[in-house]
Amino acid sequence: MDNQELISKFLTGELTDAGLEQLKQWLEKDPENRKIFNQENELWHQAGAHIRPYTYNADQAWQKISSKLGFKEEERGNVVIFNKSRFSFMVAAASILFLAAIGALGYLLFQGAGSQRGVRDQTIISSNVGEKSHIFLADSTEVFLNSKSILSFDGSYNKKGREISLSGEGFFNVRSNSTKPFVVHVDQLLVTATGTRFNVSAYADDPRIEATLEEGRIFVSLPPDMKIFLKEGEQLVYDRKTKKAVLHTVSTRTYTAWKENELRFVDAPLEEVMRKIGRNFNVDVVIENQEILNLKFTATFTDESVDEILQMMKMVGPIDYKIIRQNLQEEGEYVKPKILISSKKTSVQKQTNMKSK
Amino acid sequence: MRDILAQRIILGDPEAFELLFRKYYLRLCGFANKFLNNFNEAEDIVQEVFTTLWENRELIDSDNSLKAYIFRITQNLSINKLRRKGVESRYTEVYKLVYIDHKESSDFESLLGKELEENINLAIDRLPPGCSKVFRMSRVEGLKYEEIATALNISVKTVESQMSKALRILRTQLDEYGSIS
Repeated sequence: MDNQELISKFLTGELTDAGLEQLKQWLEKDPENRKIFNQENELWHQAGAHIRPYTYNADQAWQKISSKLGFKEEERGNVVIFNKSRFSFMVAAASILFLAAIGALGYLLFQGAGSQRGVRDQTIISSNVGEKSHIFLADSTEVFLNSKSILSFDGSYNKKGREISLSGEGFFNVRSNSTKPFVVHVDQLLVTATGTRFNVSAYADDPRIEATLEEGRIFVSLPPDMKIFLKEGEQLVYDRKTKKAVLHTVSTRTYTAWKENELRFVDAPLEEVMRKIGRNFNVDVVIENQEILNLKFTATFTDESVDEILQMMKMVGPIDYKIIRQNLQEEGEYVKPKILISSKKTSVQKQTNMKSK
Repeated sequence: MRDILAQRIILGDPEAFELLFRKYYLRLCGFANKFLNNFNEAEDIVQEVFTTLWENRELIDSDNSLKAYIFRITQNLSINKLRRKGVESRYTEVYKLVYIDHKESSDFESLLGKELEENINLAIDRLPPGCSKVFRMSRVEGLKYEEIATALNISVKTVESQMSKALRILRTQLDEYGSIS
């Protein structure tokens, strides 16, 4: 038996006594062997934590901890609002199955009371500005919700069909089920899928609605009565003003990078870059000069702070900027930092406080 | 951005604390379990990590990585627990050999910057089709090699080799992911 097989049999509980002795000897022999064992052992247990539903229950654990530490439990009605900051981008399957369970419970209680069904059995999941959410719906469909986005569905989800509404941007990894098509309502559009991976962007402050297909098949229904089928790597852009749709081929990575906490721009106009930065970092951006609105940028940002991004953009482009921060310690409402972007020619006062506190 | 989270926790903000909890709970459970090989024990340890962290939040150093700090506490508590364990299973011997007799094996710093575990689903999907299927049946459904062999109508030997292959490929991918940032 080779050593690789010894490790995998050990992890899966298939190793015999003789094999166990052999493994121990191999591990004693060389630190490099122990390193290999450690990495595969780590992988095995991380896989257990991340791909096995119900292995760990984060919600139960959080309840235990918060009651032990005396935190006040939030009131939770049938409407569940689940906010996630960008810090907590990754949320567990277990916790979301729980979320789905709350939705179902609210629905059952409500039905039990004999009242009519209405908006109250709605489950609403929202990401505020600067936040992102990662959720699993009751049918294990995975959703990444970008900042400033709202996803909602009612108690019939996954019972009759799978219909949800989206405003903002979401990436969907749909669990395959051909008998219950997965339908996303965005504005007047419907995006229908069976099992597939796609991105929908429909922010209210953006005239464009974009549906981008990474894998599988989807179709988009346009009013009054038109269906457009997308192939992998295609994107449909619908203009709300002109009510026209255009289909073209794109590099899907550019449109789905946000869920990996990446900001990715390929030849994107400054206006679009700043809109995304504003959403992502919860800042207000004002572009002061008309002539730079259409400057094109190509860049990928991952861990950079807003200051770092702006510094880099200033280095490569003819722009200057100034950040106005409010004092966080002051009483009253938190005020968003404001960023003023101007063309380099126009003098902007030297930014005073470049270091983030 | 990360420092702000640490600072808010030091100041006693339960919301910031919950964010940290939600972000790392699963990863830490998986991490603790590599020493303990017991889901319940791993969860207990990680819950202890978070209560200890909150109760001693004034000790958090916001200049250093909070992530490394909580991984370190988790590792210390898990290894203490492993040390106290009797030889209840033949498997514990192996864990003791690797993580107590040879402390250097448990060095985890290299793992912190790596995102593979967060994208583990994707990584498993990218395995060769046979590999990925066998790995999922074993890890997700907890099936024995023999059961997998029967279900897929292949030999146990093939299951064995697909499992080894899956782990080897995943480990290589883990190595390729960037080092600590």
